[in-house]
Amino acid sequence: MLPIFRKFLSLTALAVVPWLSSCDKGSATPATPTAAAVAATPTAATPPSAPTTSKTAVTPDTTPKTGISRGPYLQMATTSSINVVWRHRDEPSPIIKWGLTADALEHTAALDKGIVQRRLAAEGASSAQTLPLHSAPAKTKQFEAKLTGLEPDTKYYYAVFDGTKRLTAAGEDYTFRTLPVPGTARPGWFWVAGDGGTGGTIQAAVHTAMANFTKQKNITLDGFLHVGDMAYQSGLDTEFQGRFFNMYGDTMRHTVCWPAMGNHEGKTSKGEAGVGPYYDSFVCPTKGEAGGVASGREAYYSFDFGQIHFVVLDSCQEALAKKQPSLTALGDAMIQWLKADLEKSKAQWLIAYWHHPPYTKGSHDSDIPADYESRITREQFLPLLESAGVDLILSGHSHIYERSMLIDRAHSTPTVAANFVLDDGDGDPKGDGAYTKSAGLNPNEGFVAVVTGNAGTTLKRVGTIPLMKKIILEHGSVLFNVDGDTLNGIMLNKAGEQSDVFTITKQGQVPAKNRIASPKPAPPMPVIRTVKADGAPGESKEKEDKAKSEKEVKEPATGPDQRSRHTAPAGATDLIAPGATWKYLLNGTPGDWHNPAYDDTAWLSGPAGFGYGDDDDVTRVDVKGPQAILRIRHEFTLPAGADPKKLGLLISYDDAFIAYVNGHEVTRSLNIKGNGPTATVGKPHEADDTFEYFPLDAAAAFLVPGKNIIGISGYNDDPKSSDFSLHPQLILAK
Amino acid sequence: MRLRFLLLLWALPVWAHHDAAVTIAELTEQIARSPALPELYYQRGVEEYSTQQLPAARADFELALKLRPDYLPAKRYLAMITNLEGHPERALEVLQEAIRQAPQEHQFLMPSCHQLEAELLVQLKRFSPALTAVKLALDTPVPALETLRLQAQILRELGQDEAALNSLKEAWLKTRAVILRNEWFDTLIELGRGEEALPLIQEELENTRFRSSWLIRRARIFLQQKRSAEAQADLQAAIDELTPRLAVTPPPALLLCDRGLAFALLGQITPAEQDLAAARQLGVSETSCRLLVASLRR
Repeated sequence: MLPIFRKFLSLTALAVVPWLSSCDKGSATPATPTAAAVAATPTAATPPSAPTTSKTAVTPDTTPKTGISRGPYLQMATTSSINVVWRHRDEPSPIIKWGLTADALEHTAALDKGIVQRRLAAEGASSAQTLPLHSAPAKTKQFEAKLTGLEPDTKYYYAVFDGTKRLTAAGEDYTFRTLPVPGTARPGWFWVAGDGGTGGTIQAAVHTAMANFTKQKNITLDGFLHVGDMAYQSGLDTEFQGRFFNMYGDTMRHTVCWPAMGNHEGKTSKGEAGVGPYYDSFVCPTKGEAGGVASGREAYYSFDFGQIHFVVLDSCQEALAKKQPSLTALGDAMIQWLKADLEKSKAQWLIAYWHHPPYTKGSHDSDIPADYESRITREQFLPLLESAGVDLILSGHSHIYERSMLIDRAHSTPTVAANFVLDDGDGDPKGDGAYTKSAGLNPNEGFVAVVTGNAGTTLKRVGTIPLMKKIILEHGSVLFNVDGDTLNGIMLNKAGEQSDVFTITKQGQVPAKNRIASPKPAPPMPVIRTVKADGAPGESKEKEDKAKSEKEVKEPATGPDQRSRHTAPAGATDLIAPGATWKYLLNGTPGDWHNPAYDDTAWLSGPAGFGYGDDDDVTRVDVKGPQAILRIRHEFTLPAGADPKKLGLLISYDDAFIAYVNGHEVTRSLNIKGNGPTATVGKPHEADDTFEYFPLDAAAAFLVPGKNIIGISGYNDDPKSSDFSLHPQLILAK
Repeated sequence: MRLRFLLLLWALPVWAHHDAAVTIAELTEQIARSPALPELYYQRGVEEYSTQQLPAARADFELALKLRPDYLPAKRYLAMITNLEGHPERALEVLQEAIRQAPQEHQFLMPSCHQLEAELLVQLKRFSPALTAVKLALDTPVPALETLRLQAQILRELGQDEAALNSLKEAWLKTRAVILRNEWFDTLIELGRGEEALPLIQEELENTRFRSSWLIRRARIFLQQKRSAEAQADLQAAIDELTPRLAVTPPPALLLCDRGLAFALLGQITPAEQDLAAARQLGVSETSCRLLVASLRR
């Protein structure tokens, strides 16, 4: 570790001490978190000694002296029970109390009497009462309390204790509500988020926007539906901690999260086995406890809320099964379960969600082979769901918000709209009017598909799915409520504005709708292939604003990390735009490759970003193996009269880089020592779809009129690393 | 079996090719730069396998194994390809040798290796060793539901019907997975003991929105009990419920299997065969259309 960085670490640690001491008193955090408060939720990150292999230390170690390192948070509710989960680092005497009022917590559960303990297998998870944790920081105990004997649709207060010491505050934060009896006409509000798991400020802002909105409107959430990618990059335990539980903890302590697995969680957790950090984190129905029929697996399940039947599928498993060397149709079990589940449900509303979208042209394209998972969901899931009368399908994976018209049976590839749209209006009661369907569940009366993979990571759009009515490149999330015969959906952006609204009403018997031969799709808009930091010159103000919201330069992290601590200048001009085509070379000994005179004609060409394994790369390059280096080169010309000291580099990288201008090193990431193949990478660094700013004022001495060359070498910290990213943008500040 | 596979190859969507081509090209470039990494050949082999380019896939898995002879992931695919080439005995040898030589770091793949071993042995109609293999595949904290079903299938092939029933019932009671319960029902009916399941089937019929699959199960019991009129009424009711749900393009494949079974049990072979063909064209698994196929054979 560089001495200067060590000093930075110690200063940062000092800076958080006062805050820690204030949190240690067990005071309740506000119900509506601020962005900063959310980012710094007083739960713990994994200590350096954690047995996991995470490359990411996303938050500082901020465990308050309560010893609670995660939660408490709510899981699987039924009409008569709920699960409360929390983690502790010490050897507490775990007790949970609950009751109908905050000051009368008359019911108690204790270890082995309603509370199950989990710990790492190596630390004694062998008895019937102590179940294994797949991965966690050393000495972690996870407690799962199942509170039973509850009344349906009833609000309870709860508190977690260590013996007699109360660990959670009193108040509305620590409450839960059981599910209403299936069939009950009970209105409900649900929050849907997808692809948020960066641990960054945008994710926090999206969460805050939802919390502020619900507070202002006096809305109590009845469920938090997550459509996957909650813990980038690989769903490791440390990533779950910093990028999911720390971010959403304030909501999850009073709202049950019903998760669907994303492909990033799928890297470390396997659906059929039910093993991994994802399954450590969640308690999902397997036996039909919350409604629906028993799946036998936490990977896919269903639950009932009043008149709504929710179906949650594992699109990762379904897709992966197709590549397996097996004579048996692995993945068959889920489809057969889905059929059985849909046969049984007598709900008025049917809502299904999973990770991979059946239709998208956001950061993924459901019509191309690379996104074959989308095609599988379209061909395997949709026919059954449509014939069972599905109303709403939610998904993520694609980093965008896209919302369809009222559609049915659009299974073809490429996706076409002609004759698959039943209502091409906007679904807005104040616009073209709500979408209408008959009361109850009726086959093939149409549904609305929503892609909401916009809760935190970089947004992207590659085209237009003709079924879509709204395509919005804004960070945000979806709120919807169902009240009797009406479902209202809202896309709430991170500023708290309602960017889209739509309504479905289900009344009486609606005459069969004509299939529209030429439906009116979303209003035309220029396709933005790669998002901009501050908008390119000449773009409209609206587009500039949109571009700003699409890609934000991450603010310096609150904890000690390897990020650039410089803020990107506003209103800069691109000299080399993001997504530009660079020359690149993997490995080799190219000598003076960063000099202008070097002949790079034998190098390959490809658009940035470069890398593999984290879904943020356009040109795939496997920078793996001992001493692997990716070198990239690009020409640029300094505009006449420009100040050479205003040159700057915006770069998204994983794990380290060194930049050269005209053969001279001008900047490097903080975590690399040495040069060339013998360079060593210290602490790993995640790209997080975030562009960090590095001023290149040092390049001023080497710039020449006319052609200049920038060369960047990218390094991985581990020859077997799961990912690598290198995506530079050269700018000239005003 | 071989013909079915060839048909499957023919029916494979063209779209799968393009993406694999890109990935394969990228991997080829990387191999040119780093020719000593077995993982690169393995990855390219998987892409080729997934698009049914079997000779190329075989060559790559063999190259990976040349660089690292104990590379179990590659051997697993090699065994599968050998079987697809029509050499199940050789495939089994490849797989069993791989299992014997598996390094410690690949032990996590053992359940899936034994699953494939059991499948190959079933294909070779060597059911006793298949049972041994499937039990090894089940030696994991959370066995796959498909493996539990395979175990029951093997037990039935061995004539151990009671053990098959018990294994399904135990697995159902342990996991509560509805598909294991339904498999238990279907096995009871196939063994002529449907009346044991009848009370539960009646219960389902009273509490289910779509009744067709339960009507068909009850009809199968009625047919065994020589209650033909009641069976026909149930089967016709099932067809009447399913037909409007199937009047879409494309129809849900699993529902086609249900209706085809109802037709077959009514003796209407042509529409049953049409439904089976349509379901297969939509990619339905052999597991899902097992009862329909068996009914048509009868």
